[in-house]
Amino acid sequence: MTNPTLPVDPRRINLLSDTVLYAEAVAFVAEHPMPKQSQLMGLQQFSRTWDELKDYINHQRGRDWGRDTTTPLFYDALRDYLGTGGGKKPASLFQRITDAFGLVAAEGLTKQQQRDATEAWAGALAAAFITHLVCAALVVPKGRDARGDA
Amino acid sequence: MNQRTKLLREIALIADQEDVREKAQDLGKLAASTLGKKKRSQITGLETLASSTQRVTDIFNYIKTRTARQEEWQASNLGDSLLTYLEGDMRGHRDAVFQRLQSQQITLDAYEQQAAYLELLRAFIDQFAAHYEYACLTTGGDEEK
Repeated sequence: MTNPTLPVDPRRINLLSDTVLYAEAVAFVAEHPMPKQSQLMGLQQFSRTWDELKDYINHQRGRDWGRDTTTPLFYDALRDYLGTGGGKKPASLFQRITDAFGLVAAEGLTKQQQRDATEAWAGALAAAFITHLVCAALVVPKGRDARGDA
Repeated sequence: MNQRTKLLREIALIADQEDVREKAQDLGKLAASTLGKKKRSQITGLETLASSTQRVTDIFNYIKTRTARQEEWQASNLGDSLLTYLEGDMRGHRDAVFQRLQSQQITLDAYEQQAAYLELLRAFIDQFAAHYEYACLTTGGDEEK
């Protein structure tokens, strides 16, 4: 379970939110069909911690959507982007926390400490990404170009 | 003059440029015509957010949310125009600030760059809000919108 008391540096979260995640969220919205607004609202509501977000995405993905193919595809893409499906996908947000962003030391921590720290950062970054995604989805209709980064 | 003072001076110079002042005035007048006095709280909300947030993107998201949810922000492309200017032209002005500082042998780190961008947006939004208020006063901005 994610330890919500592990410190993450809010300055670094703010910087990554502004300079990386905003543009990636806008691009994500441009590249993938969006589900209904109620789904997006639910996604934002259940993104307070990494565990909560993971559970929500898995639950939504596992539902029977009938003829609706957009929603499951959206959650597949979101799972891949965030890295909530587990595994070590190098491009996922989760993996980038240690690789690209260097937010958690690769050495000097036990595996559990590393995992806990990474999940704390992941929760904060994912929450920022999802806020940008939801806002971008509100204003970018299908077919229009998304705006650039901040 | 220390680095912080030089940065604030460069931001003030940009904010005082004719094109920036005119844009603030144009958008302020547009906001007054589409929102009227009744929606003043949304402009003050934008001002308050801009002055308190530590994220540039909070400002963009606020405008996006207002634009998506309220016809008044969609009218005459108010929300779109404001967002495009802040995301686009103001980024260019931000880069001009960095270049002017570099010519003074001052290089900002990534955190300082974002802080500078935020200061620039705050300066613009302050002007925009002032022009909105003045336009509401002088045109008697509709109470019923």
